[in-house]
Amino acid sequence: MSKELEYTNSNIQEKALLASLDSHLIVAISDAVGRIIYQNENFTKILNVPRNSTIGQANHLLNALIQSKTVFWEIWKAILAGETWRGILFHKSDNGKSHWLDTTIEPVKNEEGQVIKYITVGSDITNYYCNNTSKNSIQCQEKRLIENFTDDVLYINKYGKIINTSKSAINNSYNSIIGLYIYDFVNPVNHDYIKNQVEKVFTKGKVCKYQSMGLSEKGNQVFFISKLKPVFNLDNEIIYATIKSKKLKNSAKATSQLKAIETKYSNIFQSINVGILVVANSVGNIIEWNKGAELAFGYSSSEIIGEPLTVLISKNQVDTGVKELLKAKDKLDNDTYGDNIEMLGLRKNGEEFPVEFAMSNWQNGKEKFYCAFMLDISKRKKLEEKLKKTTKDLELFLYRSAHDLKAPLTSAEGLLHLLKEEKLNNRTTLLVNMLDETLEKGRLLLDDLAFASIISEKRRDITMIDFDEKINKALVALNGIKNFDNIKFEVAINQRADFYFNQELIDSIVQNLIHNTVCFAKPETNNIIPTTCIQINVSDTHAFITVSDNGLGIHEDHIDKVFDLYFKASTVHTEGTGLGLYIVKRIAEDFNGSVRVTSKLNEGTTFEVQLPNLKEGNVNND
Amino acid sequence: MLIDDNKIDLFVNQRILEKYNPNVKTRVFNNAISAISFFKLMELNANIKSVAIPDVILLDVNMPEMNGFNFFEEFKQLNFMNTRTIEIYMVSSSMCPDDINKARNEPYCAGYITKPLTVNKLKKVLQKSVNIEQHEPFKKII
Repeated sequence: MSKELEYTNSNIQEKALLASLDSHLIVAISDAVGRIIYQNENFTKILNVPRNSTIGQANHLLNALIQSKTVFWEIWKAILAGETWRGILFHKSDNGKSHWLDTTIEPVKNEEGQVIKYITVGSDITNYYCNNTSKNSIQCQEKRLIENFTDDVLYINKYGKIINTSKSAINNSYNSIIGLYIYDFVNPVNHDYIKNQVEKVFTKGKVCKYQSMGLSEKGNQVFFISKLKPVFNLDNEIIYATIKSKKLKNSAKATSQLKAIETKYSNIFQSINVGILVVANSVGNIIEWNKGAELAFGYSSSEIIGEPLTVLISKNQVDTGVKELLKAKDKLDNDTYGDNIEMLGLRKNGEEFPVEFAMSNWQNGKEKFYCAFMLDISKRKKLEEKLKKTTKDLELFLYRSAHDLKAPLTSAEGLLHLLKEEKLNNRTTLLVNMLDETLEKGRLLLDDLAFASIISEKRRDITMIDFDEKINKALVALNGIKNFDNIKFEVAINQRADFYFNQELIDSIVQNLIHNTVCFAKPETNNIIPTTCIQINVSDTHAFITVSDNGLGIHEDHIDKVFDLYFKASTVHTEGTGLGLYIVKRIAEDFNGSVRVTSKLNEGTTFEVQLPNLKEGNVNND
Repeated sequence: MLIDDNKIDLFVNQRILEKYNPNVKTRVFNNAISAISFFKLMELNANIKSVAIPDVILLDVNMPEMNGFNFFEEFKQLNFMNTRTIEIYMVSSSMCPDDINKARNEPYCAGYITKPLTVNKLKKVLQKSVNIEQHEPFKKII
């Protein structure tokens, strides 16, 4: 009886207790396999499900409440072991409302110690909890770097999603970061690298470390080492990984290493002869200055640091110089490799000098830095100038020499003419004629030489070319040389546009090419009529001059030498100076054209010359 | 009148002239300065003017101190040029187109002959010019 009463009493008490709990707490009872067998009204309210829909559904309770698998696993482990689990769970219901639940899950055992039921009691602490964590959420939105969670351990899945944090993190109310990705907290620069590391951890089960740099709240640079460690379950499967970050600043070893590196680089930076200057983006002021730059510009570092970059640019060039710099900066900002910039620099003493900058940049926090490696190119410029002048002088010297050498030759020729008028015997006549030939050759050679030396001078004088006239003129000029009368000339001119070039140079090309065919023509026989074909095609951009013959041809061994200075293909045919084809080549190459020769021994030779049309508008000013 | 710094050229040219026409009187100068002095002297002495003033001058281009083109500068300063026309031909071993163009642009230069001078070249130059008084186009004889 008393037992019965006791039972009734306890039953009544229990009921009263349950009733009061029911109104305050969320209560659910599930069976051994997790099927809900009881739920109170609060429960259905929070889960936002119809009262009966959840009953009998396996694990629905846990699924509904535990959105993080780690937590689920933790709970599962605890209740399987017959222990009570207590913690804060987060639930986001279908209607978008979030709830924080301080939850206890308690197994109910029978006499044999078997778990037969679970009682889940939760209290909605959302209001209180949110107030407490709102600050942290804001910080989360600011995407604080993961490195800031220095003492905490983060649990991540293989996608980098943070599934839980260590106790201390929870106590510090960092819970709000659960469900976010670690990438949200990492400097975007490192994303790819860390992604690789995470993958490695999950696929290979290896421990990985990475170093990163961040900014502390005061804006100092802080180095971190983060350790990624896989966590296995009993079946040796990786279920999640932990990340633990350590501030390197605290590590004396790392600091000293860093210091050593820094001293090394700053030493290199300071002592190197190449001028280097660093400019901060925001203001364009110089913030670093080395010895090389000091030598070049004459400013000491204390004088120049803080000054705008423009003090270093020649006053006349400030506008263009700044434009160039901005262009280079834009290029760098777009991650393309910056060009080298040439400009006139300005020394402290007012001297101007040509300078070349190679630009690079980097980013530290929000600030962008630009580094300019400065090369003083005044020496190079001077040498370039000197070379140009020397070349010109040489050409002039050659030209003058050829001319002055010609004067005595012509005098001798004059004398020879007089000598011919005297009464000579046969032997002396022979000698005089030989002398005459020799002098003639010498004169031709000097003429060619003089001409060759001033080819580049000719580019100033460009006029319209009449190829018809040019070829006729050449044929007239060549009329009289040995063999000329035996040759049949075929001329085809196809001119679609006006062609502009230097008259004399065209004369020279046409004459030299034709002369060449005449020199190397075969003697006339019944089968062969020595023929020279001259084809000229003119387009808007180019002229193609093709001169081909059916002459002796050029031996393979010699074909690449025909354009060489003073090269003569045969000793039998000694007409010409050995300069003709050289001149043709020089002209073509001086004007960015080309020459080509194809030949077959005993069948003939073809020369193709391509010349640019120097019509106005086509002319490039170099 | 022949002006050339090279004595051999002078000699050759003189001989060629004699061959061309043995009756031609020649006066030779081995530099342009003395030729100019000669003209200046004649300006002062009006009497011998008509006899001594040459019909034709063969002028070398490349000469020390005063070259052919400098000669023209001085020649223009002389006064008697207004009354008489002297035909001046430049004679040079140079076939340099610059020189030829410069000669062409020189108003007092009648033509350009390349060395060596020959009887044929002389004929081409002088045949007309002795007889016809009118102004002739520039002659380029190579």
